[in-house]
Amino acid sequence: MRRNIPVALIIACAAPLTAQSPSSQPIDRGWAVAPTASIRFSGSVGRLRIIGWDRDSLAVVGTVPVGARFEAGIASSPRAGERPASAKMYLEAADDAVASTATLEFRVPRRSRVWVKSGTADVELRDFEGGADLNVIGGRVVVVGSPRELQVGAMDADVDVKGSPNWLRVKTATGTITVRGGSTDAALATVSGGIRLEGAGGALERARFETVSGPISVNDIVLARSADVVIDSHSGAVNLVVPPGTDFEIAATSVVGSIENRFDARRPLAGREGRGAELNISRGSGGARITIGTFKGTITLTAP
Amino acid sequence: MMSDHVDFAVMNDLLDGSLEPERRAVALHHVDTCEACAGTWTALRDVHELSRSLPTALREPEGLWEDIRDSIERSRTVTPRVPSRLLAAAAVVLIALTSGVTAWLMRTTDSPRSVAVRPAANAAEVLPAAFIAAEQGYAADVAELRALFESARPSLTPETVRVVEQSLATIDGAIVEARRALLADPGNVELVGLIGATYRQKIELLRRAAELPHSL
Repeated sequence: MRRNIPVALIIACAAPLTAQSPSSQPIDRGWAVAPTASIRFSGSVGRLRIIGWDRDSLAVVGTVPVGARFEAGIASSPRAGERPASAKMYLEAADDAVASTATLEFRVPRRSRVWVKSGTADVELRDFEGGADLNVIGGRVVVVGSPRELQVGAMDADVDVKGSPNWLRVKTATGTITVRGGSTDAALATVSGGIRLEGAGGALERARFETVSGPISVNDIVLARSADVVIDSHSGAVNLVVPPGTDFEIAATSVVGSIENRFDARRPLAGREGRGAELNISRGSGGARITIGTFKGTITLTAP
Repeated sequence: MMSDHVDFAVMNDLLDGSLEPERRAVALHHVDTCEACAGTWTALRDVHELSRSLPTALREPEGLWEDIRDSIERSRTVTPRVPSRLLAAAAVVLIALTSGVTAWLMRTTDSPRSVAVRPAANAAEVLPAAFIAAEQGYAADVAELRALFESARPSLTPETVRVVEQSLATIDGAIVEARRALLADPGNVELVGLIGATYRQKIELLRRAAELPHSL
């Protein structure tokens, strides 16, 4: 009996490593690439993690369902001695349901360019400082860090950015966009999804937030001295916590909706033909400008 | 005796009220006393007044006057020998022609450049011409992208199609609502901006939806 105990332990410990084998196959591959390489991936995948690292190489690990095909093409550099400047990968499965069990993790050079197109997927990008273009239909996109350029396109996926990308573009249809940080040049747009900018003290310089019916909330931001922020919504409510510090001008107009000013004592004026509301407030000598326009969404300005 | 006639561009500045007081006084004195300039000045002033009295929807597109002036300036550069009075006359004819067409459009209830709610062309119920032109551009883009989306539809999941259609319905509802408000208040620049932004949202959504099958 004593001799059986170690054997049982070994079997118990090994079980988690082999449990996936009947329905999935492991992927573990790596290539040398240039530090600014262009890395492209397309295909349905359940979960995709992309992590920037300080090596001039691309590593792919994960599991894909049996029958799925993962392929990678690494372009050789035209110059001798130089590392490949581009890599193209794709995952092909019988259908989306099968593909949704695939889990991949890419380690990419921190300043490379990454392009992803997938269906319904949970995509996570972190510790990355290059340019990223992430496109999904559903699922969720999470970005942690401050890529130089970040573009995210989605339909009903929620997008969550924790960082301050220099150049930021996020578009969804019904998904909610949440940004915790600032940006030099940001444009966030949804149809019915909400837009939340929790500035976390991050600076905004040029920004545009647009929804058709989703709510927009902007708070805890720092405005650059000549910042230009435009917020447009048809019927979504707009909540702006007026940023402290910088001089600013705010011009708010709601065509048929209302404006609630909880920032100071100024009262909104009736809009054109007595409908809607308009409010202009400023601090100091102006400089930064925030323009808010809605058709019928309520605009609320609040003190920090 | 008039040695220097008033330049056509100066006459325009005079009409616009953008001439400095001193030059304004000199120019006014000149057009009042110079027979050669008086004709051009009177014609220009009449056309300007006529255009100002037109309803918003049929007023000349933004920047037309500046374009005409620029065109004249360019003509001057290319053909410096053409007498300025001829150019001025040509410009007056051009303006008169534009106004004539505009006046004709104003009388034509089924004009493609205006959208009236009721055939009895009530000016307040007509959308700005510049807006109509922009809207036609948006409509053409939407139609093209919609066709692409329809051809892509079979390869999309029902859930994705539902999200796209639901979003398009939200956008269309917003456009209809804001457009109705614009018909009641055609001079509302804020509304024009909002509707434009909503159309751009629609085009962007359709573009992305049409591209979805190629993504995988």
